[in-house]
Amino acid sequence: MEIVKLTKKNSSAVIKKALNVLKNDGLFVFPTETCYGIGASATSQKAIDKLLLYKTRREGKPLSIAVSDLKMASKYVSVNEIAANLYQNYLPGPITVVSRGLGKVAAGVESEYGTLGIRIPDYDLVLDIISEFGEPFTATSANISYLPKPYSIESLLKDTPQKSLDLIDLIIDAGELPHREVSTVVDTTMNNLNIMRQGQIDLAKQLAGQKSIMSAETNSAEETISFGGMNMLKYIDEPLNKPLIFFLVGELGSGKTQFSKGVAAKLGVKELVKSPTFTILNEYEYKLGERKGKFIHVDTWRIDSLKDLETVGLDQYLLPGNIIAIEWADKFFDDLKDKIKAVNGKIINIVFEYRAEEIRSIKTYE
Amino acid sequence: MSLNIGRKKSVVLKPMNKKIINPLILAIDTSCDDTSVAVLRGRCVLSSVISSQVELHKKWGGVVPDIARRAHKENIDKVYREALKRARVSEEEIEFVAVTYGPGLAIALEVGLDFAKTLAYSKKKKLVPINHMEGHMLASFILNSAAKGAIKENEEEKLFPALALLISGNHTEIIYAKTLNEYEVLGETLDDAAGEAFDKVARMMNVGYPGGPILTLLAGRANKKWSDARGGLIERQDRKPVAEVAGRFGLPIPMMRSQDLNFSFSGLKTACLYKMKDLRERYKKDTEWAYDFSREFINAVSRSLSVKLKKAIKLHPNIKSVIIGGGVSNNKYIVREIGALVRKSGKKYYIPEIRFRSDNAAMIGIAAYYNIKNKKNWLAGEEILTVDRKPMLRL
Repeated sequence: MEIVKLTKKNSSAVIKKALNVLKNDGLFVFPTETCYGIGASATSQKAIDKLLLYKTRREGKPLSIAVSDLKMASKYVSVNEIAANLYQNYLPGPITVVSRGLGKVAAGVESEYGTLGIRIPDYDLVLDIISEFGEPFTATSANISYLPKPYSIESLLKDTPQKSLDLIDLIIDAGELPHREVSTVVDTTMNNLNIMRQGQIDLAKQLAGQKSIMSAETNSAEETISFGGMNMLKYIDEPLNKPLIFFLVGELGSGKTQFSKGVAAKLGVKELVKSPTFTILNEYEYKLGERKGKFIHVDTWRIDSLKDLETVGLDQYLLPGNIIAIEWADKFFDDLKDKIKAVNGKIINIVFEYRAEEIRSIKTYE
Repeated sequence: MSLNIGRKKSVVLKPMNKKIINPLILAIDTSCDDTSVAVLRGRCVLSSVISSQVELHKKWGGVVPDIARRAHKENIDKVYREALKRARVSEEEIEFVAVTYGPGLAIALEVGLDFAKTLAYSKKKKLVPINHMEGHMLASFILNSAAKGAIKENEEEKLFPALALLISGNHTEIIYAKTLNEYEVLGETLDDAAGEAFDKVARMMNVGYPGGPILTLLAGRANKKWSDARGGLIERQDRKPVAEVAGRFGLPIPMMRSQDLNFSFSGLKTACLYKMKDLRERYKKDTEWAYDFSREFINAVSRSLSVKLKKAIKLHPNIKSVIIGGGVSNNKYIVREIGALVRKSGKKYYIPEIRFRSDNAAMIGIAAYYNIKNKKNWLAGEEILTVDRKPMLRL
């Protein structure tokens, strides 16, 4: 193992040494804008296996890799709109961007669900090494698992067992680094916009040319709640032999939960109806004259497929008399529609649209 | 697989009537996406293992129910064994099995509860079903393995009556705790929880999930001129009363006019949506505003929390302390404002160690400890099989 002190003058020599290590499937320790990282060529299985041996355990987190820019990132992951926004506006910097991997790195780098974390360290030397190497290398912290993150080479040498240190080929010592927190990991794979947009286009098409049954322009939460109540009132006499389902379609903050509160209030639900985003499906009992059953409030915001909705038990609630409000129903509109038709359910589409500041239009379609 | 780094020897506490005073508790939490198991002897945490530490749950991403359930099922036994191993105790020594039975994601809760019931019933241990929110509330009471912590032994009762502010991805609540085991919810969110508002605003800004850490990071780059909690207003042309607007973008501080102790973050979320539409139109590809916007959004949330907490302290002058809990209390801006408020009020201020703020099983263990000690709240034999998960359980 070689330790080289980084000075103002020797950076090109240091870069050469690092490239040499990378090309020979070795490990090297480098400074970043957070703590010291350990690099191994992300596409070399030999190098990655060596790194995993060094880390002893991986703290559950998949290994992140360092790239020089968006262009290099897009060779290894599928970059969606959220990821592109992060690359273009907030990187380089202490953010690890998680995207769907393209399977172009050695085994053990991507997570078991096929996601991959990407870093663009805000540190010129590192960016220069990546550019020269032309390929990504790992950007995990240089400590072995369960030991403190190293901000100086002294602490790294002191904390790490010799057996592990022997695996390292090169250490680039830039002195004591400022104690900045480790990078913030953000996942961009959730709520893939492409899927959602597809659904929304379909819905718009399906409803085009149809006349809305009811409509309102609301400019407060109270008015949206009240419109929800009006909708429930309109369908209160629907035959009891089928479930009644409201498909609520509109962007974040457009009033879907408020509308659901109105439906629940009209049904006489006593409990507080809160956003089901976290629990995905909330269940309330209702009784209103002859009608009684369950009011089910569903939010598909955090889930990806109809299968997930089945996993949380949607099917068991598709029963006569039950009233179900599904936020973001357009995410998997057609599949959901087929499922509900199969149990003879009645679907009411509620479309929320932004008009002007604080004014939204809400329309009811059958 | 050897692992003896940074682990301290477990301490043996005073032996007096050891069975009740310092029971060995195994605690399990699977209320959302992490599988957590902890072992406590009395108030001391001997081990606290979260799936993402054990290389089992190589997950990066939001909650996908089917994956969450599968992951919990695959992980729970391994996390359990790891927790026992790190605590250096055997299965036979465990006296109580504590488990979260609500609130949370139904299918995730099920996995932990089934595991706990099977273990307790088949191995003849006592089962202590715990409300996840009671765990958050009592997380400050956990002692480390060397029996050190903010709240000393036999000092607990001196903290009560107390107020608790619980802020997480699913909850935002102010609790009045008359004693360690008597709670009353004074106020709660009427729609979105504080953590959820972070996630949704981050989504609107296209900066990924979870929203808390990334918005906090962006807020750190805000222009100092704007970033003071109140100072931003000076730059606004159309001044509005300071009390209702968080800064120059005019984001509303939620529920400022409401007389009760409830919260609401849905209006703030909507205001963010509209404001961002404006900003995007005005600045096109330039997203410089995002830094200040993140800071102002956090200010709005933070002010809303502190205003209601201040009101609650005023309404309950008899309280001795204010206890914080939940993952949102990892936010440095929020903690700073709330901490200052509580200190100014002269009440004692308690916040859990960082590792016990987000979901973890050690907090379920500490809640179980007090349930066992103060209320003899446990189930044995056939009773164990009657416990069912309660996804919408309240305190």
